[in-house]
Amino acid sequence: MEWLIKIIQKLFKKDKIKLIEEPKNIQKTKEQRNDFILDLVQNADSERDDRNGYKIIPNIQLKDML
Amino acid sequence: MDIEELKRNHEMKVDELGKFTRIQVREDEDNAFYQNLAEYIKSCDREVSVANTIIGNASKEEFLQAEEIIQEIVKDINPDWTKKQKAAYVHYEMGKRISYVPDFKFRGSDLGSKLPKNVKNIWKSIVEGQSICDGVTAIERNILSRVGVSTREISSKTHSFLLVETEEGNIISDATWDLKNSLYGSKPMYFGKTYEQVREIEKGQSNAHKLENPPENVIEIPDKELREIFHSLGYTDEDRKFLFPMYYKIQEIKDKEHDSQEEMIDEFLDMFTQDFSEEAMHLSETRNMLEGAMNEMGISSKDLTTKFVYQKSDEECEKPLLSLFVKNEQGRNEIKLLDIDEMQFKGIDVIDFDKEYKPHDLDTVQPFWKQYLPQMEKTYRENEMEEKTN
Repeated sequence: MEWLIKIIQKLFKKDKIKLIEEPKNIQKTKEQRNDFILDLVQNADSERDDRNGYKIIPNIQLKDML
Repeated sequence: MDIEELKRNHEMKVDELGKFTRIQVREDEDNAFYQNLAEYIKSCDREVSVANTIIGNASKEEFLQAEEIIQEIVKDINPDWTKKQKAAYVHYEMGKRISYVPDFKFRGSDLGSKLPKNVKNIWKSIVEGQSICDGVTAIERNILSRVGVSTREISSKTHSFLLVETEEGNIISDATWDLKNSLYGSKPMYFGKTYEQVREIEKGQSNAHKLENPPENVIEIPDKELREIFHSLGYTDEDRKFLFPMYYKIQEIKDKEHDSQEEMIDEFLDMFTQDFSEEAMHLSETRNMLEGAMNEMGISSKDLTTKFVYQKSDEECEKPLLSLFVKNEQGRNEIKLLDIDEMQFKGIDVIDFDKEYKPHDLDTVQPFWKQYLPQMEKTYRENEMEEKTN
């Protein structure tokens, strides 16, 4: 990251440049959003997900079950 | 041993309620305790109900009948086996004994329904052969504790599974998600996987195993070791492949020449009801397995529909029936319905099917077969809606 700061400093001729990292709470919000979308998908397929966790995973080939 | 002595030595709750005695026990007692309890209950001249959780009671007869079954399982567990072997045996045994309740939108917490009372009680579940995830977990815990294996139930927001203590570390056992695998003799997918591996399998499809605080000291059972464990229990062949007879039957059918896909499906369904009649009684697992089998025979999931339906006369939707529909090129609109009593798939024309069967009363989705009904078969309401739109 230091090399990037040096390049930017040279370009803009400014000494105090600080790169802003993605705050942790944004990451958490993203995860929550993903969970929410997943819940929507599961609810749309509610007959398969009875909320007791018995969800069918259909992507398994029978030969992988040998 | 009388009940007072049992009470002194074990953590149990005994309530005298009118004409019957209600006994609530822990799920992790040893075998001697249950043998003593069975002796007491046998000799008890009062009505007795036995519970392992707050809801669900087994009668005296149910308890004693289930205890006989459990004792048979316990007898088959070699005391010299490792804890992994014992856990593997019980994990696999669940599929043979228990079927997941095939009910639409069933909620274990719905006290208004008759089902949850039965399916969370260890002894009632065993007698009736039906349960849900925390019921299966309770049965597994109960049996394993009798053979000296300590366990802990793990619960996510929607699901329940098991952490088993072994000589080398803790292992995860989710027998509920493996019910179809153990019923049909295929490789278990949720035994000996780490928490991260289980989450990876369900990625993008479910959060059933997602935990706020994942368990620690969980070890993986690598594929090779898993096969050796199950081989020692008699579930694999000499090459350490799981027996999974259905797979080989499908290959035999696929190798034959058929005039049409429909002919191949009919041959498969005939074979299925003849050779797998006992397994077919487990509706939820059979539904999953049939979908896998159809996929193996080259039928795309978009052309296949399976659904639990009910006879229109079944007002409470108590008896689910498994239906199967394959969209074919000839446009033959026939739905296959598994008739458990005669153990065969019956082909029913979609018009007749619509007259006799319905989806679950709580199911608000348009039944899949409606789209295949001729125009005149549309309901009055649908016609009315169309007129309004026009």
